[in-house]
Amino acid sequence: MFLPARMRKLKIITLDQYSDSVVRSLHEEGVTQIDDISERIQQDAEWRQILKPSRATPYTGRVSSLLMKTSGILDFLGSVAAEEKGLRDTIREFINPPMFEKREVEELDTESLIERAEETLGRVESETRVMEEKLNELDSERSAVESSLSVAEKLKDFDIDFSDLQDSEYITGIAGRITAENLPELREKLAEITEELIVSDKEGENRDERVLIIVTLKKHADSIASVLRRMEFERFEISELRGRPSEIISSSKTRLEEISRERQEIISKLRDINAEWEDELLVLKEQLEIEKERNEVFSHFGETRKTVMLEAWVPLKEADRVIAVVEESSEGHCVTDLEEPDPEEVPVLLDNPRFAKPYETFVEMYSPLKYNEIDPTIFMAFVFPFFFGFCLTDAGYGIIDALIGFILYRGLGKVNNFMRNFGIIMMSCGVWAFILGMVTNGFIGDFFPRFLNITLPTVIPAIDAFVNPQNILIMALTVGVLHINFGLILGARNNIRLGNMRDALGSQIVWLILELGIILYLLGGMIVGAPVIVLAFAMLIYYNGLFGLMDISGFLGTLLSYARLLALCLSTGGIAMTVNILTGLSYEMIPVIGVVLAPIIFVFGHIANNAFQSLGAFINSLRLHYVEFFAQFYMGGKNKFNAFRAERNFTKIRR
Amino acid sequence: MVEITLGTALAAIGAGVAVGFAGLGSGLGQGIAAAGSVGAVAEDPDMFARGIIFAALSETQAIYGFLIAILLLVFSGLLGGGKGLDVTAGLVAVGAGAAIGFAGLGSGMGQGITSASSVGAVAEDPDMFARGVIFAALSETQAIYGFLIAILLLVFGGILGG
Repeated sequence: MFLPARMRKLKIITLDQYSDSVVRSLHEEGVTQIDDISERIQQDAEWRQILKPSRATPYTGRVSSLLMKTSGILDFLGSVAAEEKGLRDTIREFINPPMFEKREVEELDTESLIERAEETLGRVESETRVMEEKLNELDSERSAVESSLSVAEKLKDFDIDFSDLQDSEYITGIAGRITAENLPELREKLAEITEELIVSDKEGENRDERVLIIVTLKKHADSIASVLRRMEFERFEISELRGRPSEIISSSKTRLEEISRERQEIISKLRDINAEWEDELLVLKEQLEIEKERNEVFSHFGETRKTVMLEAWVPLKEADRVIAVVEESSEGHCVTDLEEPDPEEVPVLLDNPRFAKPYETFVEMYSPLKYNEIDPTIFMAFVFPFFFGFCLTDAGYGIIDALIGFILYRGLGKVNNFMRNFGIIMMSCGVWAFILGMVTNGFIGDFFPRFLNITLPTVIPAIDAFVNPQNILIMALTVGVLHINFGLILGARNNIRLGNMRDALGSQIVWLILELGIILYLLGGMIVGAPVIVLAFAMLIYYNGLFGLMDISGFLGTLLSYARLLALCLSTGGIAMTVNILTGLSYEMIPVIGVVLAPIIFVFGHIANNAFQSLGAFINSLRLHYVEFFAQFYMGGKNKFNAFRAERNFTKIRR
Repeated sequence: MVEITLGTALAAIGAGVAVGFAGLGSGLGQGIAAAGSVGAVAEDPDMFARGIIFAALSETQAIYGFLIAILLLVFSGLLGGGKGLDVTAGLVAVGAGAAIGFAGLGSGMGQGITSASSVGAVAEDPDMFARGVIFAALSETQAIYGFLIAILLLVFGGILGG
């Protein structure tokens, strides 16, 4: 419980024909991590004589491409079939998300699965392909019509049939836009080129720009184009336009409406197809993902002519069961060997009781642990919510946070493990905020005394936050001293266990001695305390050099950092009190509107304060762990256990 | 019109300095961090929550400043109508306000700069999150010092709890 899960290295040799079934059973069990031994075989001469590295099975490529195809169809159907969700639906899904009932599937070998996948995908594609193509055609037609419409709208003041402007044997037509400022100069330059041209201009969308149509002889087209480029002329694409602008505008609008109707029809058909096939495709996708992992993992193995060898990490308490599973799936045709591992290469799997599990995420976010060091998850499970509660110290806000946590736990938590864990953390944090709020006189700020003239009966006067903040500061610092000392003890234990006695004395024990000296000095005076303090200083200099004395200010800073518990406690209450004061002022001082305004200020003010303060409490509680607590002992490793596990969210195997 | 003693007026200066300068530092810091976060979110929309956390880090200084200012307003009689302060206590209040105000100014700016870099680092490598928080949290120490001295001044200057 206080250490990561004890691991063993399991070596398995089995006959070729059983390798597939062994891999399948290990994958379904999901408690081992398969090591890649192919590289070792290539590098180690002795191993190379006996074994050669295996390869992923020949099916891998086909399974991967079928998986991609399935994901592609699911994405396509999902994107076109997605309906706009209203706020109410979003909230309903948050509180009570739709559950997918796992479908029973038969255990298929790779070939049968490929066959089934091809058949299913063939049937779905036969229905969707035509519609997908039609949808693409409509989309490209829509963008063409839209661009014609946009050009026609820009040229709407010209009463010209665009068919007449199309390039003919001798004539060419150009349309575009230029700044009003450049127009006279352009006219001059064009006149210099030729007089065989017509330039007609109208006011553009903005006052400072003019829209032009130029008709000229084809032989002048190049030189005119080069002048237009120099004059920053923006050319419109008119080669596709036929008819007068007003006709184009009305026909384009009609066509766009038709396109939108046609699209809608196709989309509604696709929605029906999605409703019919989505579950089937999700099941297929999951089966293909699992199959792909199984086929790929063979590249981690070694092989001889008739046998396959693999190495897996397995938690000690699961080892017997895993060996039994391997024996059963290979019908006894296997050799297994369980080895005590080298601590440096063991992948670390955290192993905590259920109530502490949610906090493993925080520890893993910091850094993977070393195999032989203390796992602080369980301590964090106790202290994190307490710190959160200390920072928030408002019973009303605590109730709201706990309720949000409960909704997360019972709602989204059912389908999302992260949300479930987060819900549990929020609930315990909320409970602590409630308890500490009740004793320090924080319930939606000073709601009870201010508006109802009632003092909460649970308040302990000595730690009433706004009457005796100095006592809360003392509490915060005491909690800090205890927390840090606990960290120092853990650090000393880690160092001693790993044989780093010098580090244990110079980095951890020295501070415990210094604290002891200060306590003795305070209790018994100079004669009792001074020798111990001098000893601590001597140790500090001996182990860390003269600069070690500088660490004293750092250590003091670490302790003082716990004062933030007081700061955040007072700031929650202070801002809540301000919201209450403003509510009271608006009710009393603003006639009529004040009665409406006051509840709005009250509700939104407290929602915002709770949101900000809870975020602050969360971040600062996390920070006190990461920066102040973990720094005393956390060593950190590099290997995290990565289970070879068939993730089944939509399927279960029929037994 | 409430009669304001000179001491209370001095406490008002303290409150102004506390929230003004702490807010200045916190605002600049938060701006720098949020600017970094926007870029990260554009690259990877999943960075939103982590971006918010980093941007929220430099809020603390403003909260400390705001808190000291509120305490000064309440205990100097400006808010809630208690009794006013004498000149000596008023000067202590100015000191308390200056302590958190200036400490918050430096701390907030520093934290914002580190937070912005941390957001960039996390966008590149999500495993950097915890270490990013640690680096960003370093420059909060100064605000803690300022806040602590401000509280001690208020307590031992007889303004708070006296």
